[in-house]
Amino acid sequence: MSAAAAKKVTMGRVTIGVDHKGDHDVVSIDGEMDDQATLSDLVSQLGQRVVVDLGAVRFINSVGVREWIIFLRSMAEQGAKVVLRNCSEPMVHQMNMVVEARGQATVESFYAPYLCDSCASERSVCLDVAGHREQFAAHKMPSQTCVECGGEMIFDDFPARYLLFLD
Amino acid sequence: MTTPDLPKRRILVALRDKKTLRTVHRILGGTFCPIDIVSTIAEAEARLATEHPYLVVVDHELVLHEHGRKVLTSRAHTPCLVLMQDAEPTELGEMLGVDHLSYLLANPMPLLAEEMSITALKLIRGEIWGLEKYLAWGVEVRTMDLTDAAERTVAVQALDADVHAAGFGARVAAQATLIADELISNALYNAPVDASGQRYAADIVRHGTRPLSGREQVKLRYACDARYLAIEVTDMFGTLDRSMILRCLAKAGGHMIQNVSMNTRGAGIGIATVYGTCNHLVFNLEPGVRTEVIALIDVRFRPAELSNAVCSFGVFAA
Repeated sequence: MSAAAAKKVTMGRVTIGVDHKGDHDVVSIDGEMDDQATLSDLVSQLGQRVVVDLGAVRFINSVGVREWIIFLRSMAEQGAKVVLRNCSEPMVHQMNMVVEARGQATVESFYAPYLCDSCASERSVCLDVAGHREQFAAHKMPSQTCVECGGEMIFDDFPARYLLFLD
Repeated sequence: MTTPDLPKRRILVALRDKKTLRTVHRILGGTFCPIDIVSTIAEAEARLATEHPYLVVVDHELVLHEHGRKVLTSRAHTPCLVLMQDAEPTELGEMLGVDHLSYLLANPMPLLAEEMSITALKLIRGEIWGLEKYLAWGVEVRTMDLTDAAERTVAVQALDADVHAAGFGARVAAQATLIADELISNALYNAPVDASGQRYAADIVRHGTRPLSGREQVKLRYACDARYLAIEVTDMFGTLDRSMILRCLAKAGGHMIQNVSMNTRGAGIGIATVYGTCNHLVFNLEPGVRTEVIALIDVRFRPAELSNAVCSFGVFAA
């Protein structure tokens, strides 16, 4: 059976795509999440296994966080398993500040800020949780190489604080 | 020869750590106010019993000490500036329960010196308004007067563009835009009250057009001097008060905001979100007239270099 074509809907400043891929659904969120991003409307369209790609969430304010929490709660109430993929830095910031913003979801991967010690360039690097589980548990961040100068990039935040949302 | 007109207001510094005490003495020495220094609660109590300092500077351990708290509460009308370096985030909630707390400085040197000097001078001179006090002389300040609620997005996008154009990365831009969005939302929807004190805008839909007339207009100002990126939002209602501010900040205690409101138009965590996103949050209050909130983002140091678990704040009253 072939997967159905992805559907996209724009709510204010955010575009949400839903792609039914056989045994799971992929929801991709692109843009700025505020009070117009009523994600709970999506719940009835989704199955029991949902991957939410948050890599293109550039902004999320407190009302957007509330909409996000309502979405996660609704998914939990219908017994769905939610996996968060490519959590952008604004999403991680909110998940670290607001207790309920992580909900019962599993984090698959997330972006983290890195700074080159040599040329001061900044880069947001996507890190896979499963591949670094022990490091993250010890609040250690994997090293990165600067694409501009080849120098060493250092993690540009407190590991203990930035990784709170994984606890 | 003329004698300089020196301020006569005394400052009491009560800190246990000798090195910090000397550092603070030198920082406040620049005010040329007479400074009394003590290192125990008993000494502070004795000083407060006989003298009337204009400002008391204490460490957070003294405030959390039962007797120390009683001593300070007995002089609750005296501005109390608390230093909270090396504190655990969990201690913030307890600190915010202290009734008379208005000024908390948590950043390490050299931010501490700047923040403390400015805080003391604002109190001594009674001049509290404007982000310029936190920035170097002559800095260019952008100003936007919002005459329609829909301009919130435009203003935040302009700030975003300016921050990127100034050479800052996505993270500083994300911090700045979140702060501006939350503060403007607060000014547009939570600040306005009618003659009976009812918050008439709190349940208005938070997108779309709404013309703002008279005192409903909101002002956004921002500037950067390569030390701080300062974002200032002013409303002309002046409804925010100190106890409300402390309750809001308490939600961000330990960087873990709880109590997201589900039954109101706003989420009820806007100020806590701003506090958790900046390095220093300043509230300048003139009840019934205006509220000016200034959020400072330190752009000199990496978060790990600052290594503070909580952020500074100050609540000034006109």
